[in-house]
Amino acid sequence: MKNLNYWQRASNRRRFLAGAGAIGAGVGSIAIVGCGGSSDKSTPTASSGAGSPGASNDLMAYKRHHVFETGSPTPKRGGTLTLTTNDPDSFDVYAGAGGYAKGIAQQIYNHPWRAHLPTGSKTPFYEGDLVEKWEQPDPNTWILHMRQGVVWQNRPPVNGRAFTADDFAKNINRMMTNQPQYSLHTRLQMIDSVTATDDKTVQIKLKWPYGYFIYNLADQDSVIIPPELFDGGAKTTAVGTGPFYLADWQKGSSVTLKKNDTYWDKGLPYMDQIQYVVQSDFATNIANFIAGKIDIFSLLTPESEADIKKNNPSAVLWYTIAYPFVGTLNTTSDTQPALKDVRVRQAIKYATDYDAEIKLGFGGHGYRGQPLSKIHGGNQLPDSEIPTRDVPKAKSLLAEAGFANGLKIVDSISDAVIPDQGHTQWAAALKDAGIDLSLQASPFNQWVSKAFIQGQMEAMSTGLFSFIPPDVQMSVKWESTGAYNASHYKNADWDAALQKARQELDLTKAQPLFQDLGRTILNDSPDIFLLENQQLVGKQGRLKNWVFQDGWWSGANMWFDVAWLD
Amino acid sequence: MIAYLVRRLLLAALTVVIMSFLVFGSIRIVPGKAVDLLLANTGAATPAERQDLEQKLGLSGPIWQQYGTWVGNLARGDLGKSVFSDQPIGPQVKRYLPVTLELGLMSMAMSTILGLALGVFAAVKHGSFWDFSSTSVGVAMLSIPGYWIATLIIGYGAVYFGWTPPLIYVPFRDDPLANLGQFWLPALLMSFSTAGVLMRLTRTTMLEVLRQDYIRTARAKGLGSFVVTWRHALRNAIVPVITMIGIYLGFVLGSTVIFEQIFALPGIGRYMIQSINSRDYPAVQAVAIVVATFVVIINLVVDIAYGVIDPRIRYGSS
Repeated sequence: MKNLNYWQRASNRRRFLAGAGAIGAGVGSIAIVGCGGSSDKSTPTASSGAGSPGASNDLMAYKRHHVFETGSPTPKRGGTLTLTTNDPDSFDVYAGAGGYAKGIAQQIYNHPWRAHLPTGSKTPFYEGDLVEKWEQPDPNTWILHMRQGVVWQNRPPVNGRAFTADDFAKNINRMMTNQPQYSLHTRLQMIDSVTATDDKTVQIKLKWPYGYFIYNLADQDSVIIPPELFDGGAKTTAVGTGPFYLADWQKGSSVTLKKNDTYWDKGLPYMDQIQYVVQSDFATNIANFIAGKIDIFSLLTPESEADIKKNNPSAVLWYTIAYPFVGTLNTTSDTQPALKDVRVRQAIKYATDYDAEIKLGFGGHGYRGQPLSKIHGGNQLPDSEIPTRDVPKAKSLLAEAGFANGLKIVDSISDAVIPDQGHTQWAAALKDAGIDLSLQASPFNQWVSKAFIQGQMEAMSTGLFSFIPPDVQMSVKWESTGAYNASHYKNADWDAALQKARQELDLTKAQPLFQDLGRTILNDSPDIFLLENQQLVGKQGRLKNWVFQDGWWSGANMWFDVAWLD
Repeated sequence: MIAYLVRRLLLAALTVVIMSFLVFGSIRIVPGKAVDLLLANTGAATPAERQDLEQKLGLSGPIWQQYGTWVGNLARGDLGKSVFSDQPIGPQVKRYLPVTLELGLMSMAMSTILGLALGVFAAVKHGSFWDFSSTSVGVAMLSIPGYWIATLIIGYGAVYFGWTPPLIYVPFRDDPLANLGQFWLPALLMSFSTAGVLMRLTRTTMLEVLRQDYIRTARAKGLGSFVVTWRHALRNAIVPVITMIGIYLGFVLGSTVIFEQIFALPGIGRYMIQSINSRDYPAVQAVAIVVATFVVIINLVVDIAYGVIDPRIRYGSS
């Protein structure tokens, strides 16, 4: 299940406990650390991605024991980090677990690779997690060398045995299981075979070259769990190779993680314990954060910012990049056939008041939206190419299409969201061009089924998921077979161009390909990119050497192994 | 009395059967098929996958067969399995229900004490400033939502005193004092609206009873005010109030969900909300039928108590 935090944020009391989708990672030029994993406390240095196609020297690449604090402070050991969560439903992360379980699971398991997108950083980076070194002898072959000295946590059923390449291979094969609850299976369809060639080496053969291969296996869902737990055990317990182990799980009440003394990264973690409290009430969580009782909260409101600064001045607050907010148009609508005409869709694009969306709909906390997110970095189009409001042009396009007198469109929204979050601003803006956009709210479950998935609507303004690889971000929305192609956009040439872009191994060369794809979408306008939202997040001042990550607000993709409590 | 009891038991059983139809049917008429909604976030599913999920949810086969299977399982104490965790729902219900019952019963006890005390006081001081004040307090308790007061208390408590309610639930058997310390505030806040209703009803029935001839006789015999009010008047005035307590106990069990959310109490209401949000239909069905059955049982107990307190009721047919 995918993360729908747009509705979480907007609907305080009707939390949608959905699985978290992969969080997008900034892509642009990347430095993939080919040989990560040393335990020295090095400060960030520039590094090239040895042996990795498409690597660039432009970005900072960190070794482990990242230092996010200035002044080289000495880490302190001990203490309990307190966080809130919803009740985890299952720890079988890539086979149906919900988003909150995934957030907890990040502390218990390791991934093949890990992605870092520190908030405000222009240099997102990846590092090997369980994969220590890797090679790509040809475009369709990856040789992965597993990290040495890794053991499973000393808990049943694995009882501290050594982690092997076979464990890794079995997990990748399981991730590819072609059933809907396996969240990664469509994204690993390029894999032909996965084989453990010896105890520490895995060979992966692809059906076709894929530039974002590592990205898909740095996804928050791509955890490596013991094969002994494949057959249902992972739903009720979690045993991994990560820095913390699952010490206690009181369903409905709390989850306690304790420091794993056999963690392969010696010296880590610094903290003794992470205490998750099951508390989903939004207002209570804000109150708990103000009172200093919980250490992190990712859904703070701009209205609470002043109270926090006044009553808890040591708290650190950020505005992170959160989610895209779009208006999807049904390009095959029978109830409003005008939307089949690209000129009408373009008119809607030019009639939209993007500044009002950001200012009035989201309190000024947002960026101009486009087909790819800010977290996709260099694959985005330059700002100069993003359309701006042009009401005369919108009217002219409508007249050309035969709608000089305007037209009526119904915007299907879920009753779980507050209409003023961007919906009414969109309607108000379109009115200036003679487009009457009426809001029609329906029960959330019904809306998801009919509008969001099946595209049974005329228009639909909604928040969207973020995915790590830009090709996945585009595929789900606009590829002919995309899982969330609610606009019913079908363009065989575009599909072919997407396939070409995803097969480009040099990610720097892939950027113009993705930009072209974005240009086509902007022109054809199956979606209107209303804005990219920002979310106020906060941590207590005592939590050191830890930063929020852009797109992290789902609660996943954050690790506490190098953090400490002051 | 036996006939009365038998009648009440049969009525309770019939109510449970009707409720089972409603609970069973409600899942099947939810907008957007249950299977579609469950598969919504996973993208396209093959017909075989859909069929497999339908079978898992008990949605395959003729409707009468689905119902029979479900009821048969319930009769054996099998509440089904969570569609997500694939774990039995029974242990979850067993874990969460006592928390809700504790909160609900504590709240009801507080409502009863508050409502009766205020209502009797207002009736005895009828026409005075105290009557007016008590009535105003009662109306305020009835009108102002307890969860709003709760949110204010927590918000202002955090901002001005750095205080918020305890974060983690402590079971009664582990630490009774800590447990009561955790429950008293939500129970009190939850009790306000019911206390307001009980206060108004108690005041009305007491006023009626206090005007009766036998009350005048009791006073004339020289009985003290306390004895007249609490032993003679209240005993007769309380009959409709007990009925109302029984009715409201059902509502209280259903309204714990907001307070469980706010005060992080792992009760059945919160479990229900989480199941609804995650579309765990077997869990939603199971919780609905369990809670509904409990309400029927509670009302049955109230009916029996009614008969015990008022002989006119149990001898009504003769």
